[in-house]
Amino acid sequence: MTAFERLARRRQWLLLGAAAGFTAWQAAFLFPKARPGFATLLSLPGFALFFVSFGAMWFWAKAASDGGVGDSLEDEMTRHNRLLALAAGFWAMLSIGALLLAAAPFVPVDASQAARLVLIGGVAVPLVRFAMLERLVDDGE
Amino acid sequence: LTTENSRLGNRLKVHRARAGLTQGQLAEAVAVSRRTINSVENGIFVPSTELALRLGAALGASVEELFFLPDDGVSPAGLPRSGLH
Repeated sequence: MTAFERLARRRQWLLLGAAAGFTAWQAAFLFPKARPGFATLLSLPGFALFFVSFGAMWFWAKAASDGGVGDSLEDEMTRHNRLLALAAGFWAMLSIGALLLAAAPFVPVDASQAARLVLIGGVAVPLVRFAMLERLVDDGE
Repeated sequence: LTTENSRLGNRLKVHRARAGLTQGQLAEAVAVSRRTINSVENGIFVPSTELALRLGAALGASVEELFFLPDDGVSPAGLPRSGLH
């Protein structure tokens, strides 16, 4: 496995870690009636996972740049995959917003919870989609 | 830029083999990753005009020789229709 392949694979795992961390961090606040301490128990590790994943991604991106594989790791297809992932995030936010709007007449929807759900869709979906697209390219080799 | 189900055909692999280059060597010559070259060859990823021009320059071929529309009845310059990707 080359340095590029190793870093690309590591980035995929970090993207999934960041998505899981952000989801846990924000989802913890979706259940205000849960046992006291539940939100902290779920959100703190989630917060830590999210920021550690992003920090590691930044660190490895710099290492890749110093090691001469930065351009390959950030080439045309990667940028294209990232755009596709961001588009997936847009559709996820739109879908969640529409679902909440449709549910609003029947179920009381708290504004902050609705905002959190939209936020989770807008952050976690692109991260997962980007990792999936990158994995698909690797698997196609 | 597009991916998947693209209608654009290419003869990148043929020209690369003709030039005696591996995917890795071609990738290095045009400053992309090897998997990008692999994806272009397999029709998964359609490169930008800039990358297509760089590929052409690296392989000593025109963009029309490397890429073509399979359904428009126009074969790539100087190459037979048979065996097109």
